[in-house]
Amino acid sequence: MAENLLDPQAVSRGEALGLMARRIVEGYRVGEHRSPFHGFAIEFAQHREYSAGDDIRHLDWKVLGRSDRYYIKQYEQDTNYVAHIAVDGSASMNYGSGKVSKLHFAKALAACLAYVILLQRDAVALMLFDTERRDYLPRTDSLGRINHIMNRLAAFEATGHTSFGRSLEQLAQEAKRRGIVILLSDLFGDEEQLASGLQRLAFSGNEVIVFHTLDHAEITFPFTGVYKFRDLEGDAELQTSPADIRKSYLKNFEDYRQRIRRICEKFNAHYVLADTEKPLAEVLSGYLAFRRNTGRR
Amino acid sequence: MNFLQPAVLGGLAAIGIPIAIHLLNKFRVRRIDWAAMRFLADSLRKNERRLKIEDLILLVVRCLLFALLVLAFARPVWQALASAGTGGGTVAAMVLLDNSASMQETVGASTRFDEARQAALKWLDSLDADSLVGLGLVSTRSDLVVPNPVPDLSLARRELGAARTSDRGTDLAQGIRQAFATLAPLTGRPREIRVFTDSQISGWDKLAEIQRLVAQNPGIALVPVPIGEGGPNIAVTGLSIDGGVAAAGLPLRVRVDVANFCDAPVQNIRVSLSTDRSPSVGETNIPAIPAGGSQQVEMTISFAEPGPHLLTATTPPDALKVDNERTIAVNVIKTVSALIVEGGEVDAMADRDGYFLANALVPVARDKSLRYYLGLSFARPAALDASALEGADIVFLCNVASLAAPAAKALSDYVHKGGKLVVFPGPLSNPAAWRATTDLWNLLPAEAGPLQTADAASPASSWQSSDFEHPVTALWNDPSQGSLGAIRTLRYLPLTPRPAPPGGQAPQILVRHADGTPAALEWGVGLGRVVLFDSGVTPEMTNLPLHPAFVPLVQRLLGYLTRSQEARLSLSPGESFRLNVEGALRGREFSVMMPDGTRRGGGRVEAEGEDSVIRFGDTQSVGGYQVFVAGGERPVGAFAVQLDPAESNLRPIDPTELAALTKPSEKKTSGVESRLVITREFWPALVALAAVLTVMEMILAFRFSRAR
Repeated sequence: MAENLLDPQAVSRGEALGLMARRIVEGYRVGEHRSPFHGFAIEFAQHREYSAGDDIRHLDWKVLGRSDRYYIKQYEQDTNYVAHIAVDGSASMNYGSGKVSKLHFAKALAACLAYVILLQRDAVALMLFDTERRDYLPRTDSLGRINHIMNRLAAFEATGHTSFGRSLEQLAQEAKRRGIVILLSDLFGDEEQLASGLQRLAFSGNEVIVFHTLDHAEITFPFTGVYKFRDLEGDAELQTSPADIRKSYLKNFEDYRQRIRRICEKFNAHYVLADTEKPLAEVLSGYLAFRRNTGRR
Repeated sequence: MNFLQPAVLGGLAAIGIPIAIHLLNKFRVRRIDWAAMRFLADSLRKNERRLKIEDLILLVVRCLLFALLVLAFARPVWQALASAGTGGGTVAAMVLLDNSASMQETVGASTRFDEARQAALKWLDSLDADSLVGLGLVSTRSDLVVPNPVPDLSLARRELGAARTSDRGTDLAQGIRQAFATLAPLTGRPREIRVFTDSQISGWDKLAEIQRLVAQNPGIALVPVPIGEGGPNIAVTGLSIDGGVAAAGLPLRVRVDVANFCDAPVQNIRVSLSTDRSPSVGETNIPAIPAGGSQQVEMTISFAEPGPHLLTATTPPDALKVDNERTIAVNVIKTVSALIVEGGEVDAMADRDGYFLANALVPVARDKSLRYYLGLSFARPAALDASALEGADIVFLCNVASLAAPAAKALSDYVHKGGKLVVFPGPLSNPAAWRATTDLWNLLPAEAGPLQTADAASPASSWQSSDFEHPVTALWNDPSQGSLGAIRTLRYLPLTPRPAPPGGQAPQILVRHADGTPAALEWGVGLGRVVLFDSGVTPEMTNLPLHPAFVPLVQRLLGYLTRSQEARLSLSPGESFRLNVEGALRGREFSVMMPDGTRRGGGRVEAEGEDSVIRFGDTQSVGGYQVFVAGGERPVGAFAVQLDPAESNLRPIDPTELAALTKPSEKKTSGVESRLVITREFWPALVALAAVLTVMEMILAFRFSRAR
């Protein structure tokens, strides 16, 4: 049986807040989100002059009666969106100083996001990657598929290096229609590749959300004594007294985070720090509330 | 450089402790899988050099800290060669510090005693820690403040710091004798007696005894440490009443001896006299005193009031203050009662046995004799008894054939209690009868033979004309005072001086005949004194009554006898004072005004048999003391504590004589002519440096964020 990755508290708060698209998305059915396509639906948008070939059912007869001119009534069309959730599955995601590893936290966060999205009748597609796409679950808007999503998440084991070049390219190919791309990763890869990947996703019209998944120990470097650090993504080992280099490490790490943040901002992506020490519900609801407050464009 | 505790140097291995901790920390490694490796590697690359330097600095500081502490505990010292016998090493020693009055000589801001104390402390500092040291303060007595050598050198240092000078004289021999006795039983260490003294010559009076002690104790080294070389000194070495009776209102001749202990003559020495702590009552000037000589000056003063008085002679201040003044106590009398017992039964005044004597005792006109201080009374031998003697200050026996046993007993009791007796034989005197009367015979300072008469075969014997030794007749050593050589004895009792009684003094010759036989003797009996002349005081016995020296001789004799008790008013420092007072004062408290003018409670007047006695023992300081009984404004007694005149001679003993005390054999056994002595210890500096390093280590560790 699949591991239940859904955090009831996170799901509960997520349900209340919802993950609404902040941009116009290209859905495939009527939904809650604004579609780029103007049609003849419920909500009036504008008039335009009649041209040959237009369906006369949309002719505004009242205008025609008063002004003897032919105008077509146009309406806005709400649609659903497709959220592509991409979870980093590199070996570095296996690190966890507390109860949970970054990978587990990312999986749980992905599951909760998927549940919330499906619950509001939007579609979710899931991609697991390291140097390239390792697993992909095509879009679905059925809440009943949530267990399937969780099974796929739970079954995934992180190995290999982090590389954004190929994996984000593959993600961009899947997310051709304008939707939401949610990236969950520690982003310990090449920053230029990350930037080019995000650029491509942004140019595709996608709204990108980056959950920068980090362990608390990686942020604070609290170790005392002498440690031999072994690289999770390689054979390298380093022995040092963390207290001696704490200041330098923290500066390096903070600089790195700021660079990631600037990359995200450059491509209008939301940067969310997901500290694995914090409750999942807090991270998720915090972001959703922020998102809700900023409103639609 | 050497170490007093070299074994502790093994502790230098402790330097390995910080190194071991450093290495252990390197090996106590925890392993951990880590994701953010590139940030770690980057930080390490940037800080590697700095970290290594910081690690090295901390390691060096910590090693240095351990090394300094170990070195401090090893007690590093700087040693220097010192000549043998100047101290140092491990010894069992008795330190004798001269605290006699001469050590009060000032040298700039300090005194000889301060210099001696510093020299002793310096020598103690040079000793090894396992030495044994005792300490004695030596003057005319020895105060062994650390009686036996002990390993606690700080005790000796403390006692040295608390030691004070005294006003006593110097007798190093008795202190050295005690030190030899103390060190004799000790074994296992070189033994040494170290005497810190100004080495004034009088302190080594008993050099022969000291040399004998050194010879008897070959294992004990005696090391005199002379302090200073003795400076110039002018001192009042003598002060006395000369001449007649010290009576109220009568002029009194005072003799002052001033000595010059300088190597050069001194001139214009001002001598002043004062009484009862008052300003000067008389001054005189000594024109010059030759180097090493002394000068005697005579001054005349008078006391208005009878009673106990203090008389002080003062010279100008110099380096040794204590001998610049000298004080004596004088009992100024109001009246003297003299009893003349005449043996001949003659009515004509001029023919009486005591006629000439009476005129000599009261040498004033008849109308003035009633106001004269001396009251005369006459008695017959048969009437002589205790009641007749009561109230008499002096009794003259003139031409007494003999005394009845009760009279002799009464006379003996009278003398023993302090009465004065002068015996002038006469034609009636019968030595055989005297001998039969034991009480009388035992009083006499000489055995008298049968009456001799001068004739052609044995012409009259004349008195000596010079070389008088007794204070009464010493005046006639000065030819300007006349000569006693013209006194001729026509009839006399040949005198044979008695030997000194057990514990007593031998008779003193008052005056001799020209042939050397005694013409008059005197001695002390009990508390009194007895003078025996070989002839009488009538012209048929001798021409003395007709001689111009007769009146002065009688007056001087009277003065001498009335002042005979005053010898007890001059004490040595520390000697106890005793004074008989009226019975009415018994039980009352008394106080004593000390030489510095302060009053000190002395206790109560005690009963001693039938007598009421004041005793006072706190007489360490030289000067005048006055005794007051509670309720009385005038002193009931006075006495003076006097410095030993020899103490004023600051000249040191010949160094070669002292050098002879340090036995050659002792030098040989020491093996070396010079040895290493500690001149400086470094442990305090090392401990201070270690403290600084500790603070530095804490600051550096904090700066380098060393949590371990």
